[in-house]
Amino acid sequence: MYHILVVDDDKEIRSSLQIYLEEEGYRVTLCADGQQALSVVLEQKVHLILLDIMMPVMDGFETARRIRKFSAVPILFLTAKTQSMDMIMGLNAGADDYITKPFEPLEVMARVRSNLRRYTKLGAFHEPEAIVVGGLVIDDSSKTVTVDGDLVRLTPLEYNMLLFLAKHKGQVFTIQQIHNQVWKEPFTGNEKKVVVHISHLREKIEINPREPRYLKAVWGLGYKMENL
Amino acid sequence: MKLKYKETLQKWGLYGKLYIYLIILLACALYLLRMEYRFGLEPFSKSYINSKSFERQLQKDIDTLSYFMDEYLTGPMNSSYVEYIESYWHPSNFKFEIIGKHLVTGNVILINNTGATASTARVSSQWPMFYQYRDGYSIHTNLSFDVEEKWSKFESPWLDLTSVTIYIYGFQVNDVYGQSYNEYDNAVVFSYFALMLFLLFAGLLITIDFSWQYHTSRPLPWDNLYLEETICLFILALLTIVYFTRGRSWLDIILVAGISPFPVSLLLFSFVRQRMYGHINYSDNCWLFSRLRMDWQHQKTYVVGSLLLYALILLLGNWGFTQLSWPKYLYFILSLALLQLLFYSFRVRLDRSKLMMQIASVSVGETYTKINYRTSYYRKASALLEPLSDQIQHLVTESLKAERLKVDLITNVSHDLKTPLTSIITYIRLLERDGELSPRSAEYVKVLSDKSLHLKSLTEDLLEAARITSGSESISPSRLDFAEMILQANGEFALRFEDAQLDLISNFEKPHLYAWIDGAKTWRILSNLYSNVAKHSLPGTRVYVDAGIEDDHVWLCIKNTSRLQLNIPAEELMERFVQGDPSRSSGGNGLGLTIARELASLQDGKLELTILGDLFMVRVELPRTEN
Repeated sequence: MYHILVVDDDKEIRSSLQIYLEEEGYRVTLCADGQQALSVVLEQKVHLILLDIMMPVMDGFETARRIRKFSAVPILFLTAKTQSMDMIMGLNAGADDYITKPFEPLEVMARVRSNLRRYTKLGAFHEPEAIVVGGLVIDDSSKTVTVDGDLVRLTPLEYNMLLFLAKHKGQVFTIQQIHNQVWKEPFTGNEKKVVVHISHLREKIEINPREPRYLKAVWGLGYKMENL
Repeated sequence: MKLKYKETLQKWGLYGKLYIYLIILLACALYLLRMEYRFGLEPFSKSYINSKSFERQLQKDIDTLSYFMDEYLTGPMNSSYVEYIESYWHPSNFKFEIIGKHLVTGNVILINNTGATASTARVSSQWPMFYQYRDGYSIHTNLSFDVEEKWSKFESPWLDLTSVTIYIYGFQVNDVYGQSYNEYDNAVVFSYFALMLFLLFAGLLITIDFSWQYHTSRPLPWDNLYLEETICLFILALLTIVYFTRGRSWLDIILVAGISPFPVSLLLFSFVRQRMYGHINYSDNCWLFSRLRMDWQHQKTYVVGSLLLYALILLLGNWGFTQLSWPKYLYFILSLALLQLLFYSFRVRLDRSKLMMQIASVSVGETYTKINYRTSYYRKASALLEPLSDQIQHLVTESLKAERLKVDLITNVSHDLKTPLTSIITYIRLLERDGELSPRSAEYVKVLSDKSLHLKSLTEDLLEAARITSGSESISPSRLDFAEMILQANGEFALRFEDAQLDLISNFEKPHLYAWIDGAKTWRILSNLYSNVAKHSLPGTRVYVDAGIEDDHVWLCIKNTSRLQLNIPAEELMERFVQGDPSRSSGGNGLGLTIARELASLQDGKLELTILGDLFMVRVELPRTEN
């Protein structure tokens, strides 16, 4: 049973998260500030931490920084701060993921699952020809795609598109380029099917399709598979 | 019209004027060269002020000529060219005056009753001053030599001074040469003036160019050039008076006018400009006399000092410049005055551009720094800026502080709102999931869920709107394909449009519309506009999205038919929290358009709304290139 630490100064948020996490079958410990959390992490085996940023006594950034000195446990920030500067600060402090308040509980659960899998199955065996992007694994020999170990069902077009983008991860392709590579028919210049397929694909592989982790849009240039 | 005129002037006007001066200068130099060639002089051999070399050459020519003339003109002086000989007798000094119509040169020989002779060296009548030299008047030639010295050389002593016969021989009437000499003299003088004016104007241009970078709030520098034109007019008037009083031929007047086309053309130009483009803001110190009056008020020591200097020069007279004839000497003094005016003008203009620089820096909120001024007038003006700058500084800090407080307040409030909202959403989800609710309770929970999500988007939008309007948002534009972005938006919103039963029709003028925009911010504009369309359009209608390039911007035009009657003006629709639907039941919060407009103006673009009945039209313009 995985042990999850929830650190938030708001009692209601703590207990509601506890309800969801316990239903998922995790053991949950609640802390009201960073100082408490730090002592729990030092004493007990913790598999994942949900950490608020604005807290009394010791804030989330400082807590994460101290935990990172001795532990590689996944840290998920829960915060009301939404500016990109805050996100960068959070990730620099050693966070693995970032969830903005107010959040959807189901999304939190999905992210917790994803991060736990990545943490516990780190270094898992993949087929040599498999293409790996973070928790996304594409095995071209068996034509299967898994996200954090879960099998994802894709249509042939979606699969081809994902394979093409994953093969060139980090590279930005225009809609026309993706169209030419995947559909292999002339481009009329005003087609939305590429983008529609990309959003379908996101629905399947991303936890929150509105804030994609893998398949990102570069506005005005095209789309790319993030190089994770 | 006026703007275009100013632009044209800025493009070629000032330099065009400089070129005109340059051409005049070259023409004068050519004229001078031609004269020198005619007299066989080395080109530009000597100073233009002192034309001694020319005189020497002239003398040589006359000598040669006189050799032949001697044959015919020896004998008692009775040439019709010399009208009157007046002599003053004195034992030791012999003086006489030849008054004639023309410039003459030659030898004088004296023979007394014993038959002894004495001869002068070659003498020539002195070049007259302009005011002496008039038609019908004569040239006064003073000749004198030491009789005793000359007489001692005679074989027999000089006895009877009263019975001396004066023979003048070898006198050549230099009419042709005189005329040419006159022209040469003019050429020298005018070239000199052209040079002076060229320098003056070039200097002005340099000082203007120096201050050109601070031109944003100042009037056109061209308008400040009237000082120079006034000087030109002054010189023109002076020359005309001189020539008329000399009573020279019309040829000379034409020559003057021909050599001075710049004052004439400039005055004409100024006149035409004033007629065509209305009154131009003349600064008071443009005109010479008001300028002098102002100088007297502000620069007393300077003016008094200058006047003393000129008085001194005039008192000293022609001592140091014995080679200069009187007109040239006057020209010399005038030139000196011009030069001084030129330097004075430099000082003032330099100070003025410094002041302009200071005002510019103060106006953008920089702190006042002391600069050293040359003239007390501008020093005083600059000192006035200091309290003003302090005040501006104070106000700017205050308002920045207030703005920051406002943004901080909104940020904090929305952060504080988010925490309870998180609890509300998670507990509503728990209620929904438990499924133990009566149908009516489930309905209530549904309302709670919808409203909590609305509240969520509202707090997020509020935060963003506050951030953008406070100006703390920075943009990082790059060259992006606007058409690609619209295609992306079309795709991203395809599902939502389908759900809303809308038919999207999109047309581009060109397949690629490159623009200088911030990707994330422009996406926010597009997504706000598209979600507005998805939220507020009448189901079953068409949505038109057109884009293209126009002048220096790319444009996007979205047309949709509103679901509800739009009975408020477009401007009001733009204001925060106002929605087309007064009951606010359509799920938006009214901030979308405000944010989109602020983001567009942040990128030097604009967003316009048009409402035609139920047709709702948004037009976005974004820059194509940097700046």
